Formats: sequence, structure tokens, C-alpha cells
Amino acid sequence: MAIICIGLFCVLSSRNYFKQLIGLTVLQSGTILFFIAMAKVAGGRVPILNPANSGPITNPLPHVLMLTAIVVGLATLAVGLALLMQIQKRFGSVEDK
Amino acid sequence: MCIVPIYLLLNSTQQVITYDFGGWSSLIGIQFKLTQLSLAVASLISFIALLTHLSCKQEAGDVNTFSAVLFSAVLLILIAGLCGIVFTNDFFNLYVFIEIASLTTYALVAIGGDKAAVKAAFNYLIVGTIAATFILIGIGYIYAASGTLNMDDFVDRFDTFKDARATRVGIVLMLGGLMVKAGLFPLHNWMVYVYKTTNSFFLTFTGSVSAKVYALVIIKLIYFVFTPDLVLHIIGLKKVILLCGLLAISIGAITAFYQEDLRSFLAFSSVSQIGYTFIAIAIGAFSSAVILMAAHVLTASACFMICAYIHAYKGTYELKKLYKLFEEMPYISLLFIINIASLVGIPLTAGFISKVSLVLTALDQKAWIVVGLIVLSTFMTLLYGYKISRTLLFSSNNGRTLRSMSGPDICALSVVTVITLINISIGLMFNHVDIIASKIF
Repeated sequence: MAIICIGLFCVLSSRNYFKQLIGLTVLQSGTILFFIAMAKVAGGRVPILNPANSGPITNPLPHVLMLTAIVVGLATLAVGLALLMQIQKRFGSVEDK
Repeated sequence: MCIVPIYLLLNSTQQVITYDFGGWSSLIGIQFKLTQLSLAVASLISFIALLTHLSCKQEAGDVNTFSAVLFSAVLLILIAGLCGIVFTNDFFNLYVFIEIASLTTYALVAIGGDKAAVKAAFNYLIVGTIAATFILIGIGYIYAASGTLNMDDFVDRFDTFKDARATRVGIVLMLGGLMVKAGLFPLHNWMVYVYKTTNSFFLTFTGSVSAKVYALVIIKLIYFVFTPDLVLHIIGLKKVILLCGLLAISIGAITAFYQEDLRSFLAFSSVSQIGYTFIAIAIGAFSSAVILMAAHVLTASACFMICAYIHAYKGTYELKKLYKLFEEMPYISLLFIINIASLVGIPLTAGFISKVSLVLTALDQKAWIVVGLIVLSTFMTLLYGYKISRTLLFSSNNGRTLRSMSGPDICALSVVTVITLINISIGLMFNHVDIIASKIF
């Protein structure tokens, strides 16, 4: 949650497009950690099917969902950087005036 | 093709088609669910995409040939994403499709258009990604509370966790993110900025369809999944949505009046139209919301196409350079005025019946302030409609800059004519529209 807030603050407070993009990435990492933390079951073990072990297992689904979220975040970052290059080319700076 | 959605609505019984991906049961895997509403909207999306392609051949020349190929490819991914948003029955899959549609939109906004289009696209990327992240966190809370991502399963077991705080936080975060995507009032700036700068081809498509798809998802979630009672009354989102909607219709209409550029004029009028849709959601008039959206999709697509057409021939969007356009291009100006009349809500157009159905519901609930503000904002809309019509028809003609006219584009003209005729015929079939809308809910 703290990381999400830091990322959000970074996006909203900075006037530099590149810093906004970094803030966005931090925000997304925070979300990923939020999901991973949610999946933790107290005393849970690694979710691998093994008849010898019993007891609670950690929920693997959020981890899998976050794989997709990481890919989405990467794609967003790539599109953002491509746009930044175009802004740099057309306006000669990446500062928001 | 426009008959397909109406035909589907009239003739299908309440049947629902579901498709489980990879043969996994819907509790484990991802499921598509095709209801009448989503089928109708998906056909509408494809229909508008087809018409945009037919009518804006010339504008595609704005973009050079190499990127024209990429442009079409990315546009197809966008259409797939939008249809996926409409069809999916899985919360996380919804998020993925929203991201697919958003990422392609960021890219398409940046191609061609004004010099500032990349800045608009970047601005949209920042706002859109924050909104999508909120949707994702909301989904996280919903999953934590319910233990399921399938919407049907969520509805089945809704009673067991609907009082949990995590469910409510999740619902608010998710709907909040979607409202930003739909361009609801306080966070509409990205939309106006994008509409002002992007190329006219993409504007025609995104301006008429994109924001409505997100509004439709909100309707679907509130009505079918989270239940209106919980969202609007217990959590109390009704007041928030109503306030935003009322501000949107008033401020959108007033700002539109002062615009001197056709694109910004249409952008602000879209802001106010989205406001009407959300007012309808807030007062629980879901069928009015759908009629409003359908009417605006038709009207806006025609308006943006005409805008693109005028731009292709005159090379400008500025109103003051379009004085006495009626003398040069009488037919297109006439169509434009008819469509603006529909935007205002003059009788005999689709815009009229959509507003009437909204006002009737508001009257039923004795929400006088809402009715008053709707009438007031319609009056403002009438004023700016008058301003544009007057400019096109009568204004004195000074400093006219003319590009040499090539022959009229018959294809584009006929497409706009068809849309306008559909619009008017919907306006004439008031009873039928009500019946169709009541079949959905």
C-alpha cells in the first residue's frame, strides 16, 4: 500500500514526463506486491502437489494473475517510452510546460 | 448490418450463450458470456468500425502508407479488445481486455493528427494506467472477499460476503477506475485533450464507441453483478454519480458553447452526453442509459464523420473559417445540422426519445432538481446548436480560405446519410425502442 501511494504521489507531483512514467511503474509494482501479500496463507507451503505433505497451501492463483499484470505493465512502459521518444523528437524536451 | 442488433433483441428469447475457454469449467478457467445486451453492443462496435472505414478513406491518407498498415492492424486489436470487454464474464479477464483496448488506443491517438497528439496520448496513458491500476486493486479486494473471479459464481454466493468491507472497497475502486475510463466529469480532461488533437479517422471511431463501452461495463456490473441496491443506496454511490453527472451536463454544455473549433465542440458535448448516461445510471433508469448511449453512438459517429469530411475538403476545423459552408456543401451541412439537432434532442431524432425516457424516469422519482438541470442543459445545448447552424447557414463571409475541391466522396456521404436516416427512424419509432430496451432488463 505504501508503495502504491509513493507511486501515485510521484505521478501526480512531478512535471517531468519521464518521472511520471517511473512513478507509474512503481505504482504497478505496488499493486503486484498487494496481490502477492493477499495470497499468503498463514503457515502455508509452496503449492506443489505432493501427497507426502499436507496442511494449508499458499493460494497460487494471484501469483499467476500477477504474471499477466507484469506483462501488461511492461507493455504499458514500452508504449509510454515510445511516446516519450516522439515527444522528445517533436518538442525537444520531456518537461510538461 | 444495423438491423442485426435490433433483430437479435427482438427475436431471441432470453437465451444466453456461454463459452468456456480451453474446456475448463467456468470456476477454474475463463468464460465468455453472450447476453442480448453484449451481443447488441458488440455488433454496434463492429458496425461503427465498418462505417468508419467506409467513410474515412481519405483521412487514412493523413497517415503515411507504412504506418497505415500498422494503423489498421492496431485498430483491429482495439476492436477485439472492446468486444472482449463486452463479452467477458471474468473479473481479471475484464482487466486484461481493458488494458488491451487502452494500450492500442494510446498508440492510435499518437499516430498522425496534430503535433500535440503525442502529448495527449501520453497524458491519456498516465491517467488511463492509474485508472486501470485502481480497477486491478478493486478486483484484488473482490477476489479476497469472495474467492472467485467468475461473475456468475460471484452473483450466486453474493449474500455470504456482500456485507464485508473488502467487497465494498473493491466495488468502489473498480467502478471509480471505470468512470475515469468513461470520461465522467471531474476526470474528463484526458478525453477532451485526445479528441482535440488526434487524427480524424481514429477520432470518428474512438469518439463514438470507446467511452461508451466503459459506461456499458459499469451498467453491466452495477445491474447484473453488484446489484443496484448495494451500489447506489447502501454504499451511497448514487449521490456521487448523480453530482458528477449533473456537473458534467451543465459544464460540458456551457464550455461547448464557447468553443471555436468543431473538434473541441464535439469533445465537450461528448462530456455532457456521458453525464446524461451517468445520471440515468444514478437514478436507476438502466434502459434509458442504454438508449442514451445508443443514440449518442449514432449521433456522435455521424458528427465526427462529417467533421472529418469537412476537414478533408476545407483543411480546417475552425468554425470561423466555415462561414456559409451551406452554399458550398449544402448536403453535408444539412446532415450536420440534423445530427446536431439530435445532439440537442429536437423531436423526430434519436436524441429526443433518449432524453424523454430519462426525464420521464426522473419525473417518476420526483427528482425536480435533476429534471430542472436536464432541461437547463438542453437549453444550453440548443444555444450552441443554434450558434453552429447559424454560422454554417447565414454568417457573413469574410476571409474565406478555400482548398481546391475535388469531387465529393460519394461513399462517405452515403454512409453519413444512412446513419442519419437510422437516427431519424429511431426517433420515429418511439414505442418500439421502449419495447426493445425493456427486453434487455
